[in-house]
Amino acid sequence: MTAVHKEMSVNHLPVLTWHRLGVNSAALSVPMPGESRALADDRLQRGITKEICDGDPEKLLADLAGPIRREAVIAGKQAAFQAQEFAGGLGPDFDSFMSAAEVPLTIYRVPAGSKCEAPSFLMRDLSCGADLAERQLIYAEAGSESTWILADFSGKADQGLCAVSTRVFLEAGAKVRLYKVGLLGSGFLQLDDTGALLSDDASFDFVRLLLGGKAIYTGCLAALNGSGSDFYGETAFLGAGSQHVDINDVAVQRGRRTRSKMLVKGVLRDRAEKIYRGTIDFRRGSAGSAGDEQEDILLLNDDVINRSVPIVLCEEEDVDGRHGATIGNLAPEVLFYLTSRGISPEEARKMLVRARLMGTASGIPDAEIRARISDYIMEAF
Amino acid sequence: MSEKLLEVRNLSAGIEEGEILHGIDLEIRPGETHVLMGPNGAGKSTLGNTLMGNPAYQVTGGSVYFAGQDITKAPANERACLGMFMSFQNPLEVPGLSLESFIRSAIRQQTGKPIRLMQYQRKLEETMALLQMDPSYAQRDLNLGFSGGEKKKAEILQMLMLSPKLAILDETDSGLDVDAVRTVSAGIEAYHRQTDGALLIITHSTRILEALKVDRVHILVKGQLAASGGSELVEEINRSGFEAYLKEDAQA
Amino acid sequence: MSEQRISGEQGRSLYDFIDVGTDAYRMTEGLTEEIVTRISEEKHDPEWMRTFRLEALRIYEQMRMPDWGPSIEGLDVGRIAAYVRPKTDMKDSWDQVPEEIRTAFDRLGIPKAEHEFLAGVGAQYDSELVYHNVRESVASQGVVYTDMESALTGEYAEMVRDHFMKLVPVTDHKFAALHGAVWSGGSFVYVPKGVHVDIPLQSYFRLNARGAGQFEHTLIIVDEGADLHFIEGCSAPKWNVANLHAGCVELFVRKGARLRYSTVENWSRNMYNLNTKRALVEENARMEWVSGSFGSHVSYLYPTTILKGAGADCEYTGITFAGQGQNLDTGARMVHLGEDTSSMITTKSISRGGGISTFRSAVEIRKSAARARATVDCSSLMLDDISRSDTVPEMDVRTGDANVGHEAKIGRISDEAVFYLMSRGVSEAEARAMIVSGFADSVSKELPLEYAAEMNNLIHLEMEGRA
Repeated sequence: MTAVHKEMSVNHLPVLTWHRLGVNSAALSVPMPGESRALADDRLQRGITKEICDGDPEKLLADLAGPIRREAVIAGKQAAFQAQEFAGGLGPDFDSFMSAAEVPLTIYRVPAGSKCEAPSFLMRDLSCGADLAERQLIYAEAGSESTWILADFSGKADQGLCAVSTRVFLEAGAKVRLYKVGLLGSGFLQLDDTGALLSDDASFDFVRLLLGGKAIYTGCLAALNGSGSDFYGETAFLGAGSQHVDINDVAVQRGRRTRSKMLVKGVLRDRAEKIYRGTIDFRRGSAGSAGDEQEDILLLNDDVINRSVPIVLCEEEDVDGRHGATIGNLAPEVLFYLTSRGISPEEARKMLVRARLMGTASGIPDAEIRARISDYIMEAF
Repeated sequence: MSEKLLEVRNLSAGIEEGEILHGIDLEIRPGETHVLMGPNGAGKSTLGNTLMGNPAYQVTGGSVYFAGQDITKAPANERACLGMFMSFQNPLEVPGLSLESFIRSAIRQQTGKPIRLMQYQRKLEETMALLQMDPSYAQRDLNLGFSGGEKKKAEILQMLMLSPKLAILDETDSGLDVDAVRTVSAGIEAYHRQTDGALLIITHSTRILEALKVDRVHILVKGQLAASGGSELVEEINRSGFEAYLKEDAQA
Repeated sequence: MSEQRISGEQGRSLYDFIDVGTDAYRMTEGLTEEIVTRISEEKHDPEWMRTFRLEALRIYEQMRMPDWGPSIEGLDVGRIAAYVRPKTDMKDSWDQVPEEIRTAFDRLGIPKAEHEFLAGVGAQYDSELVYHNVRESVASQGVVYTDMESALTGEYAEMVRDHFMKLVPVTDHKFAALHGAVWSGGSFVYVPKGVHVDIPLQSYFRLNARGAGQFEHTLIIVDEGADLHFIEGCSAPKWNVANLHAGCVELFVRKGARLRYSTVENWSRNMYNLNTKRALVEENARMEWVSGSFGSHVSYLYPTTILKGAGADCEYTGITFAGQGQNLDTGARMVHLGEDTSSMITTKSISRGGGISTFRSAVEIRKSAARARATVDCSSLMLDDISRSDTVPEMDVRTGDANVGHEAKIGRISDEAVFYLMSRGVSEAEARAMIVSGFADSVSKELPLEYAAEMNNLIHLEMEGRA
């Protein structure tokens, strides 16, 4: 019996460019998730509560977003897609998919003013072909601080569907650090969606490690609505074999004096294919804001495909936006530096590749997860 | 007469855009301290980098022997394994790779043996103390966000940990304040004391030489050795600069 | 510098003069097979060209309007007279050109400039070349510089047929198809092997007729080892009816040759400028684009370079200034096919008074382009908070040993810089204009002195809001 598939289009660029480049969005066909046999292990810090939303998740999220957030048309350009109220990077089709699959929304609430230094864990073991489809809302109340580690892992050769939608709502002054780690088997289709709404002086740190899986579609949209809000995004990926990595990150800067910084570091080898879309969108009224987006990709052989679309949209004068990309091989100066200390070129290359990925992993506040990542990388290189 | 450690015979080298060094001859014996001086753009760094095997520079003529082996075409890591070392003028930053693990990997690759961790840790701590480096630098990413002075110290730290037979110090003193120069000098002395290693010090100032016993001084002008002599040459340069050599060159 | 070039005091009105009643012939508005056939007859096309036009028309009808760029809703192609021919036949002496046309060109400083430094001028007044001259010395080197119509039937007819719309096929996009159907006028240049043309060749386009489209075709072939600088200037007076410019430029740069193609474009503010420019660069050849976009209501302009031969090289330098009522979508596209090819895109864009500028680019490194290098550097300046500036680049790398770098910056004039200049006695407006000129400097210094001065004047006019 063949599973029911849903056609969808995800990871839209906020504005279109030439269709022939094939980067405006990604079309895919996703099987409706089977019964979830994934082992879920939630370890929450004291004070954080968990409940299942009993109403309509979409309505709840829309209400959180408030009335002014629907902006389908970007000045002077055709609308690329119907904007969502509480948007995620993957886009509205993914929300519809989750609704059609009747995936409930779990709300994790961090009480006002509470400071949780230690991370809360949402660990998902998808071994032996288990599918996972889940939606969660992290509701960070005013002035709270919390750290989250969401990790999806399975056996190396496992296959299945891993569809996760995470929304983060940050009230004034709230701080959320979110680490998403994908360590799935080589047959997995991973759909990973993140959307954050930031109130005044809120800060959202988002670190994402994409390792494993057959095809990964991931997107993060941070709406910096509040003045003084801050978004930091860091992504590291390793594309190997015939892996397909498709990323869409957007920082919408509406508040005054907002900050966004997005870093993407990756390594591509074999026949791996990756596309990164990164947008900084300065809206009118975002005076005093800054946005920065940097991409650094290492190509290890001739059969890889690397595509990048780093966009800056700007309708405010008093802003500072920049993006940069470096795509290529290891810098010969760095290789020489290492080899001049007696390290063989081959070993030096491995060290640099591992260093690139471990640089991101080393910030994860959990030794066990770091060790898992390190093992994966050491095995791959 | 002791054996030659480094022997450079009629070496010419340069970059894609053109030749920079024209027929250099140079000999360094074990434990000797040589100084290479010269005006900006004379080719001093080119010589250092060519000796260390930087692929950005191409040898266009002549040869280089180290410990009796022809290394003219050897890759940098082989030279390092034979006992050569170069401290970089601008050490590179490598995010994600700690200073400590970098040195450890280098020692492991050079010796081909597993490292005794306790011993290694102790030596690292002692050496960092000698160089007045904060111990936290060991776990920091290689050169990332280090100040100019810390980068230079990290280079000397690597030299002391790797104990080469010949260390080429490329402008190690440039951009350092008086205290830092003193610390770096102490590191160089320790290197001499511990291993009786040879040195080729590339510099355009003479501050770093004050505390060292210099065996031989070479003046490099426009890619050629204009003069070689004893430490008295250093004083001469201090007095009257390189002008005399530049003039001679103009007359020739 | 020629005094015919505008100076700051004269203002933009210089470009806005309208000549009355020089239309000798006007096609019925709209586009049908009959009209295209009549154009073909009027122009005494060879048979293949007539077939070509009709085929292009069929493709035009099938293709969709672009949905990714600035809105072109104000453009009703059906209402634009495709073909407007001035009353005069082509002349080879300036004195024989009708008085009002000559006055128009005189005011733009064209003949004067020609005497001073240009090797030849082809001025296109609406759809026909009214004036054409190549200096003796250049012609004697075997350089061909003629209008496209003559080229179709002349000595180089075969060469033209072999290259015409081969680089920009009519299937490329809707307006390329439109161009293929109704093209008219333009220049053909052939520089024989090894010939270095020391002084630039220039063409100057002007759209004069109300509601008229201009579809000139430029075909340049620089043969092996040859060297040419071609300058294209464009302007049109102000009219209320939407005007369309859908020209096409095809450049062939053969082995070891070099071509520089410079444009300063100052179309009037009702112009839809949907122009297609493309270059094919062969082994060890070099293509240089210098492009200044100041005018038009809407522009879609992305010169494309195909680096086909090993070691081919291209540099694109561009500036776009979008003022009130303008939506200028400009940029470049580089396609690397050959090994060791390199490309560099450097652009500046400025938005002011509600203007919208978009930098759009694509750098494609194909699998065959081993060791290719490409850099993109785009800077944008926002001069107020009612304007808009977007950057939409794309990079597609399909070989492991390529090196691609990209940098973009967007920002405003720093208050400190303004203060610094003011503290030296400069007025604020002047200080801001100076900073903007400085921002544009990397482009203006690539232009011939005449054009650099014109560009600078245009920047000052824009800054004063008088444009």
